[in-house]
Amino acid sequence: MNRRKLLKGTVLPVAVMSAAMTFTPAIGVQHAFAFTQQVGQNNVRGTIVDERGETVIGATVMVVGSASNGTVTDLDGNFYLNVKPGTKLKVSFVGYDPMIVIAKDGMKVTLKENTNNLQTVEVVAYGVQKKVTVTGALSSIKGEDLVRTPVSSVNNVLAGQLSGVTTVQYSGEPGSDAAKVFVRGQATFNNADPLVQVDGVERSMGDIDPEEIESITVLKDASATAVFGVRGANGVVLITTKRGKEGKASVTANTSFSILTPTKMVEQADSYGYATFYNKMCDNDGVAHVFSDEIIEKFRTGSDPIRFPSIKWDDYIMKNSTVQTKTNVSISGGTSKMRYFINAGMYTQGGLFKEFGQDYDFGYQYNRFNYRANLDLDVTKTTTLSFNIAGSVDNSNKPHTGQGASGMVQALYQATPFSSPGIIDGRYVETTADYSDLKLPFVGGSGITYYGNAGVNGGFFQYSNNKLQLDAQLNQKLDMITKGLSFKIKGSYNSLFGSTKEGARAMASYYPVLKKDGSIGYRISGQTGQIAYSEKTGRDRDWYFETSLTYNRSFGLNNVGALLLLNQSKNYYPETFSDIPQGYAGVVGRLTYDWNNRYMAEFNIGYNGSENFAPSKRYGTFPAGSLGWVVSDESFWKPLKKVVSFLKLRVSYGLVGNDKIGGSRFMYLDDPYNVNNSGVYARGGRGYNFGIENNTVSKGAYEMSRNNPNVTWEKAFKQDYGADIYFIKDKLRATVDYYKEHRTDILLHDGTLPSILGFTTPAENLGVVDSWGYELSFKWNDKLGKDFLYWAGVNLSYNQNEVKEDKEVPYNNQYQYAQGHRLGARSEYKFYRFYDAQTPALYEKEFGEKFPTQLAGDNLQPGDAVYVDLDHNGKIDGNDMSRSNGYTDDPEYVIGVNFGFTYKNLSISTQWTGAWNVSRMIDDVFREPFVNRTGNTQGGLLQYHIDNTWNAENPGQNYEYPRATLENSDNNYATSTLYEKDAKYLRLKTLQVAYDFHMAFMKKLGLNQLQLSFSGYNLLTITPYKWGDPETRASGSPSYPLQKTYTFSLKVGF
Amino acid sequence: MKLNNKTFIGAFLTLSLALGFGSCTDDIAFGNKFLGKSPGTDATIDTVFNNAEYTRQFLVGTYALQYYGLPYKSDRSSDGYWNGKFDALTDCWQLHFSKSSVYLSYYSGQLTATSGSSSVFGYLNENCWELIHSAYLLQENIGRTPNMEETEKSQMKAETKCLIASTYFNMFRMYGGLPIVKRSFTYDEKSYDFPRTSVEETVNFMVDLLDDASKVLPWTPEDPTSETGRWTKAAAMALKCQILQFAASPLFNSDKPYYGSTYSMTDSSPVWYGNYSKDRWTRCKTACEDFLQQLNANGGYSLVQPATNTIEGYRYAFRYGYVNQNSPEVIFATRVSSFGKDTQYMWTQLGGGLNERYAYTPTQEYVEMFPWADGKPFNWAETEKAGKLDQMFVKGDTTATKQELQHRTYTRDPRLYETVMVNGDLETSSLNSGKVSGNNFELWDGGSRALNGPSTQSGYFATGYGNNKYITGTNSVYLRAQPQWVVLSLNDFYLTYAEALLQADDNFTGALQYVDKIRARVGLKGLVECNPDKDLTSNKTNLLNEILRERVCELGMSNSRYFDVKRYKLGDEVLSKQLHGLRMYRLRKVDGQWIHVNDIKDANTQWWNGDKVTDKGSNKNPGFYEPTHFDYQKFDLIKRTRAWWSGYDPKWYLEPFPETEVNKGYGLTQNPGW
Repeated sequence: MNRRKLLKGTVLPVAVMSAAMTFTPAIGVQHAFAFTQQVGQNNVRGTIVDERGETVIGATVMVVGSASNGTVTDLDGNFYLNVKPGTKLKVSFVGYDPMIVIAKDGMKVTLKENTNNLQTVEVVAYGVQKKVTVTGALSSIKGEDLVRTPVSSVNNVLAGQLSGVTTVQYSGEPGSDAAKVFVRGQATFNNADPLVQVDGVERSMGDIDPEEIESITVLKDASATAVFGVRGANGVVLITTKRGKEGKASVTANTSFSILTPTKMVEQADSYGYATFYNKMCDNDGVAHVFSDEIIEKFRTGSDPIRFPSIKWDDYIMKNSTVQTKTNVSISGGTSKMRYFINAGMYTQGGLFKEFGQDYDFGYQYNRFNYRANLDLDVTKTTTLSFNIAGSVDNSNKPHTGQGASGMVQALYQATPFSSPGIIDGRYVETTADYSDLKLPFVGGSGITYYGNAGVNGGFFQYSNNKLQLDAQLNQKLDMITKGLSFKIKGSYNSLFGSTKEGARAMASYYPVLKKDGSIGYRISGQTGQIAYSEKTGRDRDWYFETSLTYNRSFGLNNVGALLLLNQSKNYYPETFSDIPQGYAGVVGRLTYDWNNRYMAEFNIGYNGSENFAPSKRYGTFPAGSLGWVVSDESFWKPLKKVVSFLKLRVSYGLVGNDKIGGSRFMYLDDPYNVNNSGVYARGGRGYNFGIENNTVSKGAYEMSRNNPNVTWEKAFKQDYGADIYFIKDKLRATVDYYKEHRTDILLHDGTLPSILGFTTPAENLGVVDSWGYELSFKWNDKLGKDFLYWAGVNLSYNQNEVKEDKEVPYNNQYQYAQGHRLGARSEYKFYRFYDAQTPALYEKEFGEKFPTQLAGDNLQPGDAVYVDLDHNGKIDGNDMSRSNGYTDDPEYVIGVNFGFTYKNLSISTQWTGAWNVSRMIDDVFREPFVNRTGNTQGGLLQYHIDNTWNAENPGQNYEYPRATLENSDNNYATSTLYEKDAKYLRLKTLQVAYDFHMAFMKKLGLNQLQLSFSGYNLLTITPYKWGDPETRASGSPSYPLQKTYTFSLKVGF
Repeated sequence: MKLNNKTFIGAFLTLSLALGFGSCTDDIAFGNKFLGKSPGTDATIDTVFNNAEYTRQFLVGTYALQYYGLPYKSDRSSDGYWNGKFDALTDCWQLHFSKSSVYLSYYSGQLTATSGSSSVFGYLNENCWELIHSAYLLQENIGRTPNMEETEKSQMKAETKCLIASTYFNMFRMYGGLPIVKRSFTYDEKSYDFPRTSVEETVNFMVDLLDDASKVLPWTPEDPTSETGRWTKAAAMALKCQILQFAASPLFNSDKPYYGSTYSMTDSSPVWYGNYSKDRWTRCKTACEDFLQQLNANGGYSLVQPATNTIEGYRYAFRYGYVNQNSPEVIFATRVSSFGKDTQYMWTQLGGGLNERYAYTPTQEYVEMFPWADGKPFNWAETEKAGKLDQMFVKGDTTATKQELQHRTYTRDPRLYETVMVNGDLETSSLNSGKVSGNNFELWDGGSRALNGPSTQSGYFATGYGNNKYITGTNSVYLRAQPQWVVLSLNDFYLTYAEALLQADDNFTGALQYVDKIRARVGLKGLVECNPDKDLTSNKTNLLNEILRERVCELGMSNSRYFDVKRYKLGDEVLSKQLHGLRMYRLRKVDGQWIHVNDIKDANTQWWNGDKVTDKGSNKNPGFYEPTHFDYQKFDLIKRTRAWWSGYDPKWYLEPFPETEVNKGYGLTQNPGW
């Protein structure tokens, strides 16, 4: 509650919301009634605050002994009650110890936080649980922590906020920048994506407006996920949207304006640097210079900038910044019988690439409009009806690259600086190799060729999507049958309509010609055609149905709970076999028991069917059990209580499944054959052209693949050992978890069988992966004096895994196998040093064996890369490629640190995220100079190559790159540890400075909140990695750069 | 808000049902019924073999997996340009595409059994086993196909036998003896024991398949216009000759093993017969004679003869012989695209576009193998001494007011111009005749076409020559015509027969007769007449060398040279020699002296892109006329040097099996030296 001030009047405390959602009658606002203000002696007014002086909204104030005389505090924490001073009042609120106070006008009641959080609830699978009795491993985050920085995708702000969650944001492309999310790392070489549910229904996380989110809970262990059965093994992310609460309508509007700048681009070489480096490479290889002295002089002086340009394409084509805006209005409130939350949001993000005055929009641009209305009706005292209507309309513009954003960025890096002077007077100019006086040895690619406004790739793509999501839910209490029983039925329907508009046209280019008078003229090449316009539509439709019985009752100190739930879902346009809807069906059961919130036991079971498997293999049972013990409630703990105020131990074990097996469906059916195939082999078909000058293709038939009727799901056996420990009156809260997972029956293709069988072996459940790790999180909240509140939190996640069985082809050495290594471990040579005269002797000394023949053979030259002969056969070859070196693309350690304070009306908060034991393999033009799509002689060059390549004038070992060479390129640019670069980082992910105004005029306007804030996203990154942002890729498919965001926002509440 | 509960609940239930099911009433089902719907559109093996049409299609689908020797794809197999064509591993071509396996793994000598897909003919990357699997599936299942005559079934089976045999041969000549597969497999076989068999066994397996097929198949396709490309009796018999020729050659048929004095393998029979036997040549010769007998009886195949005894006539006959789909010379060819389309990005297009990936540059050594136009051997030293190097490709007259060379005469074997782009020939060839037109190839250093390729040893003209085989000129008119890969052809057969006659019977006369048939077609005089100093009627080595030389002039870029140098174990004699390119410098007369244009200030090296344009209309200028006089320098190819130039390791005669495949332990043994 410490930061409520920031959110006063907009966001209700999470516990209230959750309580409202579950419609439990004991607490919260349901019992409140409409308030009529009366004037007179009998009126008592008061304010309820918490220990930090923050007003408490929605606290219940009841006359002791009365069932109906009472009220709840308003948005400023005030209440009015028509009672005589001196009357005993009971003040209660979720998460606080209830208090009995004597009524007195102008009273101020300070509520103490309930140290045991007995009433605090956590969202769990298919419901909520009292936090104290939760025995599974889960972590959660509140919506308010997600909205400090306006990002389009929630994925991108999860990193470092939740323990056990790893995210890698590869791309910053507007509308396609969602980070890859893993829960407790990867534990399978098949699909390791977690299941994501929004309000209990499988939906994507990327397109939900963060402003709509009440909380996100990540379920990590078997106890928490077993009920998801065949879908739960990769962890589950539950997103709960905000709901209204009783009270007068509260309106919040916020708007923000952001400047985005690319985080880091890798600098390219200029023409002079390029040509001299090239010639140096020729010297190294002992061949004639490719660039003549005259050309180099032209580049050096820049005297002929049209015919001999020097363009750094990243600078030329990229803007320094772009703009993002976000506006959001939400209304929430309700009466005793009806509550509502309505939100509308608008998000726009510009692209970073220039459009050069083209007459159509093709730059990256993303706009999204989100809406949501969540409605709860208490139809009777025991019946609640809820409706959610939500959706989004988005559209994005992209250039007609034909290669996607990464192809476009790749072309940018693979371009030569002299290929084109760019756009001159609206004309795209390309240089040519054959000027009559001087010759460029080659032109190479230009940075614009794959970018929407030049050459054959002119044009644009416009994508738009319209998503609609509907939920209806009925909760019926069945206390009349037996106390504590309730019934729920829920139906959801999601639909999507998408369209892609494509405008393509070839465009003329011009090449410069030197006229007799020395001036430059242009000759046209190609023609600018009409825009060829086409349109495609896509759609998606799925529904979900669920019905359940819940039972919750206390017998003295024994608390019993049970859940029985049935669900079915159907997706009408799955990715494969789109003609056949994809279905799931399942039964879920849960039993919970606790004695006095001290000893807890829980049993979960999921019984699921998946259409991916044969009828006899279709259904699976996934049980999980967990135990909890609140040690600090025991009498022997009393002496320790001052230091350790709360200690709970948790343990869980269970089985969960995964049926996401490489996108294939129906692998149990008979081997599929294809008939009537009319494609020729060159086009991937199996038809054949017989005859003489015959235009018809004879149709072919063939066996497409081999299936296996015995396929079934992956099985994850998960253990979790955890403890929640609070110190010093709960000021410091720590959670510790250690987990182990044994994943078996992972589908793979057996590589040990002879290849002469003549077909790809079918998928079989043969793979095994073990994973383990720990999570720590600490939270500290305190205040200094009256006005200074501060907090700090740290969470650390460590994840490791090992492939236990992969059925790989038999290698000669253990280190060559993926088996025995972390998933994604790279096969690479082990770099020793750059070759020089001492190298053989040093090698012999260090490794005690003869210096091995390197990949370059006899041609090894000083400055060439030297590798270690791991198999000791005197020769570097494929058998020396090991997976035992280095790290992988996803980090082993992720840390999140957040700290901040509020002082009076000022609030500053920061969120830091770090990762280590992570690496990136640089490749393509980032590794080898002059690489392009077709070869390694006419591509791009990084300035970094010029500055950090071994050179004969100043030989040494402190270079990033070996001697430049074409001749020995297979030696020097082989995949090795030399090119595996440490990508650890510490990032200031979010910084927010906010100020709340409290001025007289606000009251008049009815404003109860006016907040101005500045926030930044990705402001600072500390990393040894030099090839762009450490999360992005510097490879053959490089990333659209990530962006730094500087945001100004204004938030008002009525 | 006071509402009647029952009404509300009722209304809600209706609504939720409407939402949940309304649009999909057919889905109200539970349990298996809800999940169990499976694809209805898929065919299975029963669908295929219960239908005559689909069964025929299945054979077609098997044909589609055949080897095709012209790389055109961006992948790692012999149809992909990232590996490269193995002709570039011979003395006749050098590949300059620095990203190819040929360049990176082979030239450097770094290929190992761990190189996997870098092999120019990967044991596992060429669809070989997939084709064999598919062929057996047909053989095993065609019996139950309804509505199909037995004769058709047996003909289809015979075709699959040829497909299997030819696929085995493709592997055999790269790897030696192989595991023999005689049925289709499942993934859960009881045992995986498929040992490598001996050369003899592998050869007999292939020959038996072909003999069986020959008994059933028609000699020529029954309807050539729609059936050419199917295996025929002629193709089966011609392939048998090729197999027996390879088997009888010294690589396997010799007193000495090709690798060292002994093999380290416990059983060397997969890579060596263990002795020499002339009978193996006799067997080849007999197979050739069987073929000839059938040819005489049935006709159908013949050498394409020139319409006129002119350079155009010769060039067209030679080109038509391999390029055209209806060439009577072609006995069997494979295709991967359809006629008239799909050729856009294939060999002809990309090669004709002089793409770097197709920079298979002919070497100086190769060009010198082509005789003069009359058939007399070309000799550099003599030609240089006679001051006739300027006439070694074309000669003609420089005529006042005409920029181009007049009366352009072609001085060499017409096949040179069809196989190699040489300086002074014209760039565009006609579709329907041997006429050429367009610009002259400017392949001198700095010339309009070669640019700095020869001086930097890069690109399509790195050696001063460009490949013209299967390209037929820049802007090729054959672009959308005949992308067929010739597997068996009559000219090849004649040369095989000549070789077999010489080897089996020392029959010089017979051998010479068949070689001269080939030479006569392009206007060359007989071998004996042209080579009076070589004792070709009695010196077997010399005649054999002439046959091998004739083969590479006739069969450029068809893989023949690669297998010729290997089956004759010419590693030391031929492959270990440094290769050369030819750098030509354009000369210009200044003050009566011929000097390099490079040394003249502000002079153009290019002609049609340079002087020809700028000096137009002023025939007094020295750049007005097509350059005809050059300084010639042979240069060492250093990009890149080949590892075996410093000594040939005989391991290269056969490819390495992937080590991981050997490790699977089903009986595959590694070839010597790997």
